[in-house]
Amino acid sequence: MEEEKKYKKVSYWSVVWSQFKKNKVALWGLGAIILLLLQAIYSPFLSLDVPLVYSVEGTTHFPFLVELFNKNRFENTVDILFNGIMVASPFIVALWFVLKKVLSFSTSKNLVIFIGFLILVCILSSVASENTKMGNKKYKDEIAAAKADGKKVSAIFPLMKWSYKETDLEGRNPQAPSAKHLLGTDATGRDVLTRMLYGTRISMTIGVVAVSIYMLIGIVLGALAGYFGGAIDLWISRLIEVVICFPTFFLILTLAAFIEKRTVFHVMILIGVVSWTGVARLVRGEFLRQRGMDYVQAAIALGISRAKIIFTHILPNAMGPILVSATFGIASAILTESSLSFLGLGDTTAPSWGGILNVGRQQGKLWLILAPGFAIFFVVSVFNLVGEAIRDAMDPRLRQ
Amino acid sequence: MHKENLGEKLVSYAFFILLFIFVIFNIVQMNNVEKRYIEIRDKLEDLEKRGIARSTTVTTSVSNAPVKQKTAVKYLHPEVKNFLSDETFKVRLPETKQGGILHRWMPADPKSFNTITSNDGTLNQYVNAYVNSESFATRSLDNPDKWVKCLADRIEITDDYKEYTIYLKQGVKWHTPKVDWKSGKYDWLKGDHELTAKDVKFTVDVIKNPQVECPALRNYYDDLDKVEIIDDYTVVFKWKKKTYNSLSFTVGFNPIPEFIYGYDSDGKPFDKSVFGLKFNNHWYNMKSIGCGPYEFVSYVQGASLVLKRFEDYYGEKPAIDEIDYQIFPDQKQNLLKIKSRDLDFGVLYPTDYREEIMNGNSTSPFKNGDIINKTYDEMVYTYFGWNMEHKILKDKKVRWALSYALNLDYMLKDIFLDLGERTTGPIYIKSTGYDKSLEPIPFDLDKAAEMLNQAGWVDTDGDGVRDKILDGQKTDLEFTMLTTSGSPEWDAAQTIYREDLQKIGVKMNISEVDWAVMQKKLEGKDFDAMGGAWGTAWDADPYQIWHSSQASIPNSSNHISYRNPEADKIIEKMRNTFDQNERNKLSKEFHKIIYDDQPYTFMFARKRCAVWWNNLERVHFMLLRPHDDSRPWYFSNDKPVQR
Amino acid sequence: MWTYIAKRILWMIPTFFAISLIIFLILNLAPGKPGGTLASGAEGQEASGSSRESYRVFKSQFNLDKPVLFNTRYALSDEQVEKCLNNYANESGKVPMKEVIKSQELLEDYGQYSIPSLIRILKKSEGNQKFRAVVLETLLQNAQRYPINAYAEHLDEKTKKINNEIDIENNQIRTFACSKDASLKDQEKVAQKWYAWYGKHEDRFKYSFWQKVGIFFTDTRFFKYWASLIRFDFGVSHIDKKPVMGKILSKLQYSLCLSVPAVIFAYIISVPLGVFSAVKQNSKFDRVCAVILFMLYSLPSFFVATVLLYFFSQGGDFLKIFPTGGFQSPSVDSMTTWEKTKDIIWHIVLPLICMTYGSFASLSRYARTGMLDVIRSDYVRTARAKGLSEFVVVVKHAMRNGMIPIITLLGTLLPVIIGGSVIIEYIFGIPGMGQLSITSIYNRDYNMIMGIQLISAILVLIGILLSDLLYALVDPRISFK
Repeated sequence: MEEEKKYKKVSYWSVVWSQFKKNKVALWGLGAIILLLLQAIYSPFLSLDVPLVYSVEGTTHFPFLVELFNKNRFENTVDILFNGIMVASPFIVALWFVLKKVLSFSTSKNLVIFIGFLILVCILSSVASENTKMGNKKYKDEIAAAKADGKKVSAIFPLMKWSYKETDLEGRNPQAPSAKHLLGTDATGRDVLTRMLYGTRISMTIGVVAVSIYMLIGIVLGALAGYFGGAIDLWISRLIEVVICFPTFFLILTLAAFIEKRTVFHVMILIGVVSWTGVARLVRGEFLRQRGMDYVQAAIALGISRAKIIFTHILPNAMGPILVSATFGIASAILTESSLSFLGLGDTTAPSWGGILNVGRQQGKLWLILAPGFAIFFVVSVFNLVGEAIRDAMDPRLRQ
Repeated sequence: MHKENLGEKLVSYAFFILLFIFVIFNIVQMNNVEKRYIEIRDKLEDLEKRGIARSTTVTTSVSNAPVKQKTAVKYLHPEVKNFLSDETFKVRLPETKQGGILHRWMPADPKSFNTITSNDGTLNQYVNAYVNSESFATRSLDNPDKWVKCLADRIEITDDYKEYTIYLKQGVKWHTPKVDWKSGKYDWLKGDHELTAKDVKFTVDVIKNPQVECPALRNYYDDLDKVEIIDDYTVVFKWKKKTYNSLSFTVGFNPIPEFIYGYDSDGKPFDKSVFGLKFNNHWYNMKSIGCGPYEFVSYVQGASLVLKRFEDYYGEKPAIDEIDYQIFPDQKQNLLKIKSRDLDFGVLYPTDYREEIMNGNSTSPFKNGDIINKTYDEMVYTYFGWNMEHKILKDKKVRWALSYALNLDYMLKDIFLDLGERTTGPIYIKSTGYDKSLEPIPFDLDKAAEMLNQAGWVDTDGDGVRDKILDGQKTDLEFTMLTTSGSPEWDAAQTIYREDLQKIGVKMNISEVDWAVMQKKLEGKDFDAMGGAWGTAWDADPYQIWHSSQASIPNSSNHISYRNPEADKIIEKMRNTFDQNERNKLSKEFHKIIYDDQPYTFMFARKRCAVWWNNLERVHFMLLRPHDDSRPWYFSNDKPVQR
Repeated sequence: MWTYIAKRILWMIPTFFAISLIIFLILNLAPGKPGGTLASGAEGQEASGSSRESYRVFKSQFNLDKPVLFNTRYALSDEQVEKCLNNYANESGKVPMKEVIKSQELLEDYGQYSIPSLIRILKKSEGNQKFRAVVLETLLQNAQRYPINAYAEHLDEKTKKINNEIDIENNQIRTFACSKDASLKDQEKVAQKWYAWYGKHEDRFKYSFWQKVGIFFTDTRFFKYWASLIRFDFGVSHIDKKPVMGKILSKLQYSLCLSVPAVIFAYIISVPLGVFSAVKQNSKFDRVCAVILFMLYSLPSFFVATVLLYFFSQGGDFLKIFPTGGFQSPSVDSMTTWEKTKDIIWHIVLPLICMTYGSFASLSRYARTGMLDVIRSDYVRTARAKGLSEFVVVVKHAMRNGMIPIITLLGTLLPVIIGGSVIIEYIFGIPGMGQLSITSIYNRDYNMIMGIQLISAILVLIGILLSDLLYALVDPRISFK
């Protein structure tokens, strides 16, 4: 046991990590990604029109937690899921700690349980949202009315008091940036900063989910083709050749236009379904290379089942390039989604950055152009940066 | 380095420099030559415009249509009074200056210029109005209740509005077709072509041909029994039934030229068995021809469309020589091009209207008098429609409550920026049949809540949404509003409506789809409520939208399945009433019934804001479509154009 | 080499077939239907039988009345037809309108195949006035045949003769019309006419085995589409009935004017930049370059385009230098060639910037890595050791090999060059291929979408082949075996 542990410590990934750490800019990038994720998860604390706590004439209410799962307030499933993760985040951290330090599970096992728990949270939160029956109560109006009545009222709100779909009708919209709306409002009178914050959620989900979808398709098909070869390889290769010829962006545009009620999930699936070929080719090539190696032959000789060989022996070794292409993939998926929204073919109800930019273009308002534009630019470049750094870290030629 | 080498290099450098100079010289030379050529060409065109070049071409070309002598017309029914009167509106005033090119914007490409098969609003507004919408008679520009002479000089209506005798003007010429004359392929088209009764008969045959793709038009002529040609300029329309529609569709009949549309590109008449299909795909469909004040010159898809004044026009010729349309879909660009004076005239969308005119700073051309703006009425009203077969919305009280909860005054002021007027019914607000005594419904949430209470909708389970037992089932007061996506103003209006409804415990979901999907859902009556707009006409027949027989037919315009026997009776009566005063009375009655039923919550009669550079004079907006008819406009030369 | 190319081209055919099949299925199974305005009328009109006919003509022209892949309508059963008729008649008034419309469409689409069933149902349905009226109405529309080959340029005498016969028969059939509220007796009279007519033409509706096989495979949307595709005919646009190919070709000049200079500029800028930063690896210049290029690479082009328009266009608020969009000035007719050229250049500067910057960012990174691979190799070191100047080493020795990957990229750029950029053309209002694509999507112009997709697929195929060939051409180490 002791021997094995020592050996593990200088595994391939730790080498890559130590290389990666040398790249200071990339570390900043990684930090930025984590920050963005945290911002996405904790957006309700940054801006929501529901008070955390408020008391009227001595009776105290805690509407915040319940409202997080109110379908009338958060129409997008994405938001409900993120809210679920937000509520469960302390438990998730605790679970990680327990698994890692107390039970000392292996990292991969840890990861599986971790992802399982996340999925559980998502299911629970969507179930919860289905069962909450609440109107879209106007807490701000209620509190203001109570104050006007001369009652004793105190309330603690999140940092900003806006929801991403609430319209501010005082003043002519779009309003320029002011103390009330830090980034102004859009044509409908919705707070742009809040929409940007919730837009992070959309972008992040699009990136991660779309890429997961096509990774899954690509890895399975690529692995099958690369491992079995022969007729299977031939057919899968043909399929890849065919799908590669599709004009991807145009196809996505067409399909998006044909979907009656587009949601963010449709966009994710569309992106996922048409862009798996790169990964499939990559995995196939990697598998073709690995299959001839001694350790695979040994595993076959030992009589280990095929599935096990594919997924626990070869795949981890092919994981490097896949990870790199996934990171770049997230960047390009985010870009594709914002282009779609920019053309008005995305989810029109979701606060997508591309959509805000399109409104900005139509209205000719600088704050509506620059804010989402730089947000897209920032996220895309951060993911590209990290992807590049991982690639460099894994490239033995660049190792010093 | 060797000396020869240096010399060689010098020589080669010199050679290249010389070559360069030579090329430049050539370019300059060519440019000058071309400039001259263009000058000469423009001059020639100018001459042609004045008719000098034209007369020479006419004499040289072989004219296959014998020139007809103007004959005295014998009236079939001299005892009948002429149905038409003279137009009082003058297109040209004494001070009108001739000349100039009007640059305008066209938002979309026409799908086809064929007036029969294409029912395209853009085309009608921008091209047909000038090129080929000449009909027997038109509604007067001063008083739309009157019909005035156009292609016809006299129309006699006899036999209980079943027989119409039309006397065409003589010497009305069709435009010269725009084809490649040099190739010789089109020699069969040469010569002048005059409008005759044959063209009228041909047009009717086309419309009645079942293969021709003109569903809307054919419908209107279903009851047309036959058309008889008396002589070259006299034609009789005989209808099976006496209906009011037959009047406007006979008098407003718009003929197309047979000498083009009856033949294939080689000049052979079409085979009878496939005529309709060939007509749908006619070779001249991407060009336009008619006998209007402007003739079609050229069209480049997605780029430009040019119309030129027709010098042989039979009526009052407009002052502006040429209308150049720039075609691009983007409304943002529209504004930018107006500002940069690429366009002389344009229409502002509410967003731009707010930015430039309401909030613009004093140096902007919209404020310093360079660009003039004016709002005008469009024949369009917007509404929220309620599906009358929906279990919740079929209750009249609920619909009234929903109307009370719509804050239209705020929306009009702050979202639609006063580009509209509150309307209370489906009748065009400026028409004489509109009942002005009906008050717009005020915004009153308390009243709305009270009405919902009366209708039995109370929030019993405390979830913030009212409910009621319907058919033994507890139902929430919840419905989905179906609208098309893309308009920020509609978005804002819906959002506000939704928030207001929430306050009185009504849950409204919004479903934004694109137009194709929306249309499918409307036809399938697969919706709860909808937001939309109807274009109306001066004296519109409410049958297609409001008659109960249209409620249960697939693909009809009565999307909301409105059924009211009383309304049916009035609609049917209107179809047989010809007296204008009587019609106005019926129209007002109908208006009242619709108002009481609130099948729609009527919003606004829309207005548009037009803007134009200040050297354009006498910009006048018509009561009828196209409102921005440019015929009376002219350019004053006082303010030089700088592009 | 030629056998290799021939083999590759032969492989393209099945690939292309598969691509067309997949795209065709996607488009045809997607919701939303073309010709929607024809079915309902743009600004509303009374719905009645005669207005339907136009929509049917439209459907038949584009084969939309046929099943997508396989046709089994020769075996249409009475029950199927009766069910549709019942739904369409909607006597109870309880059938949802969606179903009614679906049944109506189906009945229309069954066309000739439904005649025998309709006649049998007509016989059965005596006495039921409302239902019978619907049967008669359906018969009237389905019994009429369309002229064959009606859209061909020229018809031979034989087809003309057949078409005339069809026309005469159609005219005869039209006299069988029967109004919706005709009495039972009148209906029976018309029905008798139908029986007589059917007796005369019964043979037409009996199919032999081979006929059935033929119908099964060939009387379908996909087959008809492919039958014309074989002749490189992409059909006509649903919207303006102009040939798809012609429309695409007419848009090509605009896209080419934009993309060819964009690619040229991208190469002109990126190659020296890449080479220089490779030669000066890890220098300050290299690092600054890398950062700038990286940022450009991540900048979304629609953002840049919007910002450029905001700051530099005439309608914008700051520097009013460039036009606000479009490809040419409206007064283009009265310009000399030189002025026209200037005018076009003035118009495409901003879009050109947007199209160039992204690609040169990635290209110069390619160029840099390509050079880096070579510059450390032995033969370059040898060249240096020979005492050649650094310039000669880099340009003559290293660049030739280092530029191989970036040259082969040219092939894969082919679809971009011809296809244009949807977003850039949309923002700048350039009437090229990209704008054509997006308007055809908005208009649900199926043939146009199909045509554009297939042409770009062909371009990708050719592009891949081209880049492989280029690779072999510039790199003697690669052979075609």
